[in-house]
Amino acid sequence: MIVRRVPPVPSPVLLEVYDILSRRGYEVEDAIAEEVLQRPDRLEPEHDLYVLKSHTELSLSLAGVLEAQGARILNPYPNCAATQNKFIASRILRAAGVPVPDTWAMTEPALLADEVASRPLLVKPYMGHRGAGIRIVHDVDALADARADYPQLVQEFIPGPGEDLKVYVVGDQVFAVSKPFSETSFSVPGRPVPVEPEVRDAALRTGAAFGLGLYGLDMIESSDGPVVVDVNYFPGYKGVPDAAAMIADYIDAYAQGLITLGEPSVAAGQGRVAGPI
Amino acid sequence: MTETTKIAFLMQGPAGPHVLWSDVGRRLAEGGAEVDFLFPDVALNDLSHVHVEHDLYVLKSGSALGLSLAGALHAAGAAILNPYPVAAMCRDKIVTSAVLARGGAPTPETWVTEDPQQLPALLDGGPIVVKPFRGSRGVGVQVIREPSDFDELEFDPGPLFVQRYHPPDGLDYKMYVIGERVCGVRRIWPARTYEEKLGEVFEPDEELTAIARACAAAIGADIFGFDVVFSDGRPFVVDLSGFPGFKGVPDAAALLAAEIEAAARRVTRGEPVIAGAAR
Repeated sequence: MIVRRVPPVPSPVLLEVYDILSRRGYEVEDAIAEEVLQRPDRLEPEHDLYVLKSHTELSLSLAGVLEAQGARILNPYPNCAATQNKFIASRILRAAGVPVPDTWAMTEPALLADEVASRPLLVKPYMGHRGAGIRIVHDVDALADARADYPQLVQEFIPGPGEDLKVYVVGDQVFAVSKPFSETSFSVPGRPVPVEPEVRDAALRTGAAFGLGLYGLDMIESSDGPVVVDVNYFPGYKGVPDAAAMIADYIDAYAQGLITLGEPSVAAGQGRVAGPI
Repeated sequence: MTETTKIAFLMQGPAGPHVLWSDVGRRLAEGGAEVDFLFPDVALNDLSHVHVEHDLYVLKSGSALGLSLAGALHAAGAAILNPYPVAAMCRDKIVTSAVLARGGAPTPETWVTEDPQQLPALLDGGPIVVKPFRGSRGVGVQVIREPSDFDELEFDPGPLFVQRYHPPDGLDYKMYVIGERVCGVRRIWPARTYEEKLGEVFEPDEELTAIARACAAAIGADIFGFDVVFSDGRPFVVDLSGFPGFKGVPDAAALLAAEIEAAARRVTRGEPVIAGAAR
């Protein structure tokens, strides 16, 4: 397992997963990429399966090295990389028929003058995580002010009930918790809520499109139904009953080769379509 | 070919003519292709509706947006040169160095960490160089020779990419690969005059040609550049760039046009963009 601890204590869910897998005869080792000196030019896969839990750039790069050396990684490296890049993720989601906000790359603010005049927009970093650095803008001046020296995307602001729907998926099992939105909300456990059919459908389509088995989504329940605003691999599963047992079962089945995950792609038949780039 | 082949160049920065790439585009158009130059950094890019409308995309841009757009096109089934996974890998020195080392290219010893406290111990084996892991072309590179050098250094948070520093014997070798053609430009480093910056073209010997082939096979690219330094007569590949400027390469436009044309032909026949590649 490649993990990142924030705070620096392993999460109880992960500890339980380690425990269950150990009892089934797996040798489980965890490593925090940031705290050691790695030799990428000498790195050789030593484990039958690597589980990528961490979302840091270094961990993702090391997963890339391991993948290039032939290691098996859960979730697969290119699939994790695709979720981390919101430019790419937004295209994959839309093509998979998942309801997503309209999304543009931040280039010249003036090009978005008509859009921002008609409705509020969100500006966020393209590699952002956990809601950091998000701004809501109502006019072109605010859009220009929100520009940063790193790539950003601009997204239609979806009004919701003031609560975020956090959806957690293990294989085809979908769970949802609701929690008030804030920049620190990732550390707060939510309140379990029933999974509506539309939510389940959007979640499973997302998994199939990205080739993910352990993943989470942030949704907003708009007046037109749920809209997916973020996808991440191996989330915290906070508030999901029996999460550890399900995750361990999934890792067990994946390790045995009973599950395969494809590459992220736009579904067949939706590729070569003419249209504006 | 019954239909016109459509080729798009994904360029970096503001829209405008570029001497070399305009020439490449003109040659492709003369060969019957329809050529577009796209400037995603200054365009309105509706990301959720990116569609594939060209047979081949040539990814010249190294900007985060250009690369991301290539990623979206890749997911939508587009053929891209270099292929998106290759271009993405070339932006990540950690993965690139590992892949080059495994492919038999002579690379310096390499370490990564986020903890600067780990670095002083490495000086026991000689000087080290710390590079930004997504940087290119020498920006932000720091050579550390003595433990006291750390007193004046501040590291940005994030991955630190560290290599053993091998002092160059005097020249910096810029190597360029365009398909089968391998070309080298020797430069005095650091360059002090414009002439020194342009360098001197040379025909690579067997050793450098073999290194070029090893790099090409390792990363799976047809068009790329890399930097070699000789230290005590031993070559080291110290940098690799997915789509360089080819400054000083004779006949670069003709070679690039021919290589892009060949890739476009492979794509229209349903073959991989890179000859013989699985991806």
